Amino acid sequence: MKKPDTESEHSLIRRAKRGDVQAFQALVKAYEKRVLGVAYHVTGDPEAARDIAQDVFIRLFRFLSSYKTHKRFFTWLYRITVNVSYDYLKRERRFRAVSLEELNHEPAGYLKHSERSEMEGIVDELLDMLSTPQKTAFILREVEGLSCKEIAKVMNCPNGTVRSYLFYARKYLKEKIRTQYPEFIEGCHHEV
Amino acid sequence: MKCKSIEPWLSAFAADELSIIKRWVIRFHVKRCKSCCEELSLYQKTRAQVRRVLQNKARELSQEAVWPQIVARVEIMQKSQDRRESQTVPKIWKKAIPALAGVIVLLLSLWIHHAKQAPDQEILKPVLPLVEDFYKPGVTMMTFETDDPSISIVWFFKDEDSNQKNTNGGA
Repeated sequence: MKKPDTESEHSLIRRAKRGDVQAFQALVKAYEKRVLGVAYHVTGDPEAARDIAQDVFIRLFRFLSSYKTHKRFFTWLYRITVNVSYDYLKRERRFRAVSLEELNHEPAGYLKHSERSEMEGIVDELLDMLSTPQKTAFILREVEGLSCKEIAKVMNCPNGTVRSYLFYARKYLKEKIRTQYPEFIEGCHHEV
Repeated sequence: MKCKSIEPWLSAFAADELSIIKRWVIRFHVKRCKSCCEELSLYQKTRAQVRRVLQNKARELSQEAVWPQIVARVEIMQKSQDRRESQTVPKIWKKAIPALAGVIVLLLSLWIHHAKQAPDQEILKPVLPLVEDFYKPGVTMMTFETDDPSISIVWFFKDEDSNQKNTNGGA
């Protein structure tokens, strides 16, 4: 995914820091798709992703003055997104543990597999099996196109740990698809 | 190289995350090993399909803009921030005011200290040149007593040009 031009980005951040709402709006527009995407893939819930994206940008507005320009802006923003998404998941797990026991049905906001395409259903199911850090690292690498170093900064962990998360996530996905969903990769031609 | 040592690198190779040398070693092995070639193909196909599905999903989701949903909250926050900034003392003054107060206290204490010593010097000042003159050759001194015993008038005469100097001094 293309990253915004850093020169114009810096001037936007400077203006937004001074309280320029239009500059802040431009920043939101530049990053909203990516923030929404990461939040959605981490939580698996489109409604939650929208709430998280709003929360992320509100936090961004509040704490933009503490942003130091020597850091990469998008890494900082992804870090906020991942943290807010983790907070949501923690709350959701607590909520889901109670509601599933009491109501014994699927929580609201989660679409049933039949309502989505089969492929999406398989991917969601497979990603749900991964641990949250593995899933986050995998999404940041494969969907957002961040390097391992950048992911390490976003997730606040060593580079080697990110490589390990990616290795186990890919291995798990490959094994599951080979054993359970061979039809998933039928017709996909890739040159070695 | 053996398949066992190549296998851990296959997923990273499929994601194009390896150095040129490692890539070359793996490509060299994979061309000669059918099982590793199949394994690598599986990694590549899985990656391609999962990426495609995830990117499509993200694209569908991001049709809706976030800005209209937060614009009201941002404007409220901006207004309250402006109000707070106008009410509070600017940051530079927070440091300047104590520093200025310190300087004023220092100057006051110096002035008080100076004022305590000042009277003696003020009395001595007019007397000192007189004393110097007194010991100079060619200077004559005359003293006149007044009704007030605490006051006496002292006259100095320079013999050379007969210029007069008169001064009141405490006796």
